[in-house]
This record gives sequence, C-alpha cells and structure tokens, in this order.
Amino acid sequence: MKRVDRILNHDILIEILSRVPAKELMSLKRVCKEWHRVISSHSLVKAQLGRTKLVLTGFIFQAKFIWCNEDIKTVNYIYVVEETTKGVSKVSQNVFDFLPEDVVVLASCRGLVCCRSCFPFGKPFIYVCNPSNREWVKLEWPWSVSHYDRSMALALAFDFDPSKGFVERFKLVRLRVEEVQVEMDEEGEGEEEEEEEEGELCFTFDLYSSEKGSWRKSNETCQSYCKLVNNEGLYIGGVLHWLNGGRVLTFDVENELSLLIPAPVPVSEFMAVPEFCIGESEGRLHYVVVSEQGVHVWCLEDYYEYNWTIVFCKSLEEIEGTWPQFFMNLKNHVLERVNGPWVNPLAFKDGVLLMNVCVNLYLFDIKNNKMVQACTNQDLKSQSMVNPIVFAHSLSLVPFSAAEKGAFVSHGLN
Amino acid sequence: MAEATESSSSQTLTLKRAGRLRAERLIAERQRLKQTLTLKIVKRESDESSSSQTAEEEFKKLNVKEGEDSNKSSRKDGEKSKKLSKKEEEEATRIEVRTVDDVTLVDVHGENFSDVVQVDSVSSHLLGQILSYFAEQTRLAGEEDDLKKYEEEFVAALSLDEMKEMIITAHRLRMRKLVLLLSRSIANGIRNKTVEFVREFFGVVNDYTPDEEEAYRKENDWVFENIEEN
Repeated sequence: MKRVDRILNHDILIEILSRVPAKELMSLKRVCKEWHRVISSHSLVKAQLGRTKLVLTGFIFQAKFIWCNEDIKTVNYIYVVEETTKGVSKVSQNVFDFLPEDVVVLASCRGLVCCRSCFPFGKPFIYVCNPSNREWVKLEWPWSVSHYDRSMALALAFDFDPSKGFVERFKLVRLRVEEVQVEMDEEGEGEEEEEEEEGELCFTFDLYSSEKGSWRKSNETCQSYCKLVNNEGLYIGGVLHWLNGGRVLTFDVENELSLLIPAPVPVSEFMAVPEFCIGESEGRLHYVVVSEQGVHVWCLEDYYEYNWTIVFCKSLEEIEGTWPQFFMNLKNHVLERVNGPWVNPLAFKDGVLLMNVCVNLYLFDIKNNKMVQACTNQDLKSQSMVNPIVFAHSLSLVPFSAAEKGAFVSHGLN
Repeated sequence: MAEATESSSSQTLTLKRAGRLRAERLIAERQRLKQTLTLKIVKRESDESSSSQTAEEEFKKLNVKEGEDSNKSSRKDGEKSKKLSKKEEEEATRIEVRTVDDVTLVDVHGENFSDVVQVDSVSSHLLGQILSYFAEQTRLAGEEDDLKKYEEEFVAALSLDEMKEMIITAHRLRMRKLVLLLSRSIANGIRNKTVEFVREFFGVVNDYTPDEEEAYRKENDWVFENIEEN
C-alpha cells in the first residue's frame, strides 16, 4: 500500500466526515485530538445534519412499577446492529450516567432525550440531553411536588434545522387528564351518570417553549374516554402522538390542535386482548397490533379521515414456521395469556419492531423479514417487565447552543 | 543547464562523495526544475492560446531534461528521490483540452517520453481516470440515470486508496462534482473500519494516551459495535 505523503486537506476531511453517519463519527472521534475537535465543531455538525439521515441506533428501555410509586432507576440501551443478520446487539446501562442524578426517561426525539428526576425526589428537575455528546439542559420543575402525578405524560417536540447546527429550540408538552368544566346544555338528559359536577374528563396540554423559557397552558382540550396514557409521545411531522387505550391521541404542536383517532381495528374483534404499540416509519405513524391473528402493522394515511392502511401482516403460525429456533406454540400462548401477554410489542421504528416474547426480546425487521434475538429479560436488569417505557432512539450529534433561555447548559467531561 | 543535468543525474554518487551542502544544493535545484512542471490552471476568460503555449513550451523544455535524466534516475534508490521515482516508471499521457466548470486544462502534447508527466505529483493513470470521468460527464450530460449509473460504476472500480489520491487532485483542480462523488464514496468506505485503519489511511498520528482513549471508549461503550478488522 502506498503511503500518502501529503496530509489530507482540511476541506476534504470535512467533505468526507460530513457524510459519515452519526454512529460512526462517534468512534472516529478517537482517531486523534484534532479529529475530535473537528467532529465536535458546530460547522461539521451543521454540514453532517444536512447531508446524512438519522438512523435507528437503539431502544431505550426502562421498567416501571405499576403500583409502587417509586421509580426504577435502571435505564437500558438496547443497541441495534445495523445489519440485523449480524445478530447480537448489546445492552448497556450507563448511557445516562453523565447526568447529575438518576432519571426516568420521558421522551426521545431526533437524538435528544427528555428525562426527569427519579421519584421520590427532593428537588425535581427536567433534563433535555443528547447522550452522544453528553450535553444537557436542566429545567426547573414547574408543578407542585406534593401532588406529583405519576401518570403525567411529557413529550418532546424537537425539529432541528440543519442550517443552524445546534439545538435552537424545542418544546415540551405535558399531557394530563383533568376534569374540565364544560358548559352543558341544560336539557336535562341523563348526562348525569358521572358522579358529581358537570365536568368532563379531558386531556389538557401544557407547553414549554425553550425559546421563551416558560410554561403555559394551551386552550386546547380533548375529550378523554380512557385515562390510560402510554407515556411514549412520538413526534412525527410536527404532531405528537400518544397511545390512549387503543386510540391514538394526537396534538399538533404548532397549531395546538388535538385529535383522538380510533384504532385501526376495534378491540372487540379479537378473542384475546391484543397488545399494541405505535411507532414512526418513513415519516408516518404506524400502529402495531399483536393478537392471536398475528402481527399486523398499520399506517395512518389521513389524520382527519382516520384512514389506516395495512402495510404488514403475518400470522403467528408463519412466524413460528420461519423462526422455529425462537418460537413455539405461539398462538396458544397468546390466547391463554397467563401472566400477562406472551408477545408484547414494545416499540417500532423504521420498520424494526422490538418485541418481548416470553423471556426474550426480539428485533423483528418487517421490511427485510429478519428476526434476531436482541437480549433476554435478565439482561435488562429490571425488576419488572410489566408495562415498561420504551423509546426508539436515533443518534444525532446536535449540540446545545451556548445560550438557552431559562436553562443552563452543562457539558460532561469530554 | 547541461551541468545541472549531469549533476542531478549523478546525484546518488554525489550524496556519498561530496559534502552534504553540495548535495542539498543539487537537490534544491532539482526541486526547482520540478516545480515548473505544475499544470497551469487558467480561467476560462483569459487568453487560452497564449497561456497554453507558455505551459506547453515549459513542458517541452522540462520533458527534454526529464527524458535525459530518466534512464539514470530510474536506477536511484535514495530516499530523497522517492517522490520522483514513484512516477518515473509510468508513461506520459496526452492531456487534451477540456473545459470543465471554470477550469481549462492546458493542452500538453507529449512526445514519446518514457517517463512521467508530473502534474503536481499526480500519476498519469489517475489523471487519465479523471479525464475519462469528465469525458463521460459531458457526453451523458442531461441523462440523469445514465450519469448515475456511470458514477456508480466509476467509484466501484476504484480502491479506497485510489479514491483518496483522486480526491486530493480533484480538490486541487477544483472539480466540485468529482469531489462530492468521491467524498460520499470514501465516507461509505471508511464506515465499518477500525479506528486504527482510519488512522493509517489518513496518515494521522494518534495523540491520545492509552488512558484517555480507554476512558472515551468506556463512556461511549453503548454505541460502539464490534467493528470488523479490515
């Protein structure tokens, strides 16, 4: 091999590095100090954000106690190997160690992750951070600590502007179910099956804008039929989405409009209670249903028409037939449902479904029809596997800008 | 001139015999001669014919000298001649005039020289490749699909090292499209390579202490997969 006597021009280096995906750039920071400096520089990040697409890097998994108020501190990062045929992915528990305290992950959006202090807490904070460069912003907890509502859902809305190359602004949206006084027509019809006041259970939204550095309540409300909200808000195309029972609650952040979209298939259609999750793929909302009929993935075509299109369906028998080394007797297990669901879809992103089957987690690449075992439940070192919070994460190198109103930026040792 | 020729050709002997100062002086002279071999890049607006003639003349002059030296210098094995001997085994090529973007490559009609045409220390083989790229570009201009197909085939045929050499030249000659194409390909090429490979490839020296490197690795362990050696 000929050795090049010339040193590669700085411009050429930028051209090349700005076309390398974020994941690889992180390991390239180790090449030498100069490269570390270049890769961390805003100019390179700016160029790189404009030239490369975000790729699914892994899933953040954090277990939750259902009845106990205490938070489980372990946060797992299930790293997804790009070519799923390579098999083994990796589970780490130290991803958020750079934060000053243990946290509970609340949302993940374009590389940024939003978390809060663990309960029980003295003085709680909200953190918005980027695990790739270990930078974070700390926000004051704006609500009452004594009446802490664990079922509160907080989502992160963040669009990055490649021309800026840093986190310029983001929004946080808190979702709550509240009783809202509604002016009812006094026609005397029996709407009074509700206990006391003429209040309706509605979803309310509080917005935080990093630009303004403050919270305010949105005027928008949305009627709630079910209090259960899966705290995994997905930000797709300017709209936040949450699973609410079977339905999907959406909130257009810019215009502050909410919609409650019914499930693609009513729950009554199934014999056993189906499990579902939502995810983003190709910039669109997808809805995964796992039932005795198999794995079905729907895509939302139209928000206002509630138009769902099925994009993938595979029966349990087919899955078992294709991967007998992993699965056996799926249908019966799903129907029996002894200790909770046998097959539980946890998260879905870019065609990859993370699902829990019995004691293992699998990555199911539906586009390429590949199934890999990600890890076992034990690898997750969690005390509970019921109802965990799972987020898809795509690594991005976006740094926080030096000046962020109402918050302070801190950098980890690097 | 004749003196210079003779002295440079007996360079190796000089190095051994004469004093260091004299050897250095001879080498410097040789470098100076080499410098005038640089391909002239002329802006489109300027007078093409006259400038091309000047370069042509210079080339002719130098090629004559080179021709005389080649036989003797090809036997050299001194380290100082590395830059030169690397090229001296290759053949001269014809470089035709091409108008590419804002750059006009100057016409050099080489006669049958048994040694290289040094264009900023670029191998003629590489230059040939670059020129065929541009020939295809102009030929297929407008046909997007064909162009894309050609580009894919073009980079597929190149090794990573060749791409690296080419991008340096393309950058120097300000060939934007080629630089973009090559940077994309090189970026893809270094993607699953170890850090050590990348260091060697780019000729970068690692200035991290093993401890520092280990600390960084540990912190970001969650994102480093087992990259294959290549």
